[in-house]
Amino acid sequence: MNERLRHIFDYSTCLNRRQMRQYVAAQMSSEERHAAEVHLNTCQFCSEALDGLMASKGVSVKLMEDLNASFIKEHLELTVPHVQVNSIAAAPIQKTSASQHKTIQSNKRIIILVGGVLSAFAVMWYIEFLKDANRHKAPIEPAIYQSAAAAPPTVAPKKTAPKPVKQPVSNVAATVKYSTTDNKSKKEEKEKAVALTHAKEVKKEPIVTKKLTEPKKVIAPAIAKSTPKATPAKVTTIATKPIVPAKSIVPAAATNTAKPPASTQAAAPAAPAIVTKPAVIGPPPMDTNMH
Amino acid sequence: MKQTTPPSDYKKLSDEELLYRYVHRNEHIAITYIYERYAHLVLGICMKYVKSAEAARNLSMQLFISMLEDIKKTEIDEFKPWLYAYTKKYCAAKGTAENKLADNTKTTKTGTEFVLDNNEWYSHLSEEHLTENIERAVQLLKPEYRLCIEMFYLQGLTYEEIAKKTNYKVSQVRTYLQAGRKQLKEKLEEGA
Repeated sequence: MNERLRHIFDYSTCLNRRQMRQYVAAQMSSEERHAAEVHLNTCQFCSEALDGLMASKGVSVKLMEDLNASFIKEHLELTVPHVQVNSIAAAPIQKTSASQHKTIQSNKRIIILVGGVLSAFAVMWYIEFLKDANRHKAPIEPAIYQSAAAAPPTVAPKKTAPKPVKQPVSNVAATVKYSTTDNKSKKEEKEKAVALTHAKEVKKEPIVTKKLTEPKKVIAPAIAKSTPKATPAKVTTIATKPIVPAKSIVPAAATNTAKPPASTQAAAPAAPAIVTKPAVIGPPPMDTNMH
Repeated sequence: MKQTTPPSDYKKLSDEELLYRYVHRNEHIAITYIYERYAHLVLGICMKYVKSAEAARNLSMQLFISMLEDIKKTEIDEFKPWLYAYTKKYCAAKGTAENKLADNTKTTKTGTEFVLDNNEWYSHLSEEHLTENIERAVQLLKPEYRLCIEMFYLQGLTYEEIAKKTNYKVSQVRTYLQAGRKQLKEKLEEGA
């Protein structure tokens, strides 16, 4: 007896539309009716609703069958913009389309996959673009290294005349180009031209290296004793144009230019030629008879 | 891209979850499920306040249209009691003079409030107290209350069957059962 009485106050869910319609229409079995009435004893909402429906039994059953939420949808479509696109909302509530749901899911996957592939291509292109950008940035120093490396490391034998050092004219021009400023461009072009002409002349004439400080007398007396008609030692002179004193155009960018022959220096000692030492790379060209 | 909820899942959502989706996510379909759950109850209460069934149907539709906006302005903890009170107030304002207030009304400083009974008091009672005292409390009820309660809960009879056996009307049986439960609740709370 206690067990059944303990469930007097148990809570139960409200009657749905079908149950209420069947109860009003007396279409339930005895057990179903009793279960519905157990809830009606506990729920004021359902109990009052039942009172109103039972007052007009025949009409209320028809009204409950015709209840439809379409007027709510129409009202919301007119007044409230539907922000979230819900494909299920477009379909009637009663009809469920599982196949539509599946196709929507598969389309989403395809879109995600295509987006991933395109983004991967974009990343690869960007990496290649960065690499190309780094290649085109040519620093100043490698050009110098190239000019120094281009010049063959001349290790000439002591007694033989040093080989003519190649004048990497183009590299010289390149270094000059790197080192010049806009304001000094004209002057430097002239000096460059001079250097070029000088370089060409150096190629043609063998360089007779002598110690600059040695007087010419050393050679001449030996010859004079033997023959009275000894001609003085030939001192090769190179007819050169007066060299304009050049300013230090390349302070850091040392260019590999051959040292001017002694004769030219002797001719114009006050006008130092463009003599620049190679920076680091390669052994310096050794000149014989310098020491 | 937001995931769409299939219709079968909407049925599993609680009233409060459906309200949240409608108010905060603008999901129109969520409020239609609310309508499907409570439209017949709102219609029944409307039929108590108006004469014709057609007028009651129109009144219930107007009520739901009005509720769509009021839901967004109100913080609702439990939807069912709120909807009950909202329906009673709306029908009382729009209905005819024949409407009658239900017994579960409370008069407060702000006016009459329609309150739905709940079973919160039941959860405060211990199992032992209920087991020991409920049978004794039933014996202390009024005879008509005790008879209807014993026939309904112990014998499992319906309203109509009790009415046939006791010569009471069906409405009387319902009234006695509701009053008997209320008195039983008071006696159990006294003894707790």
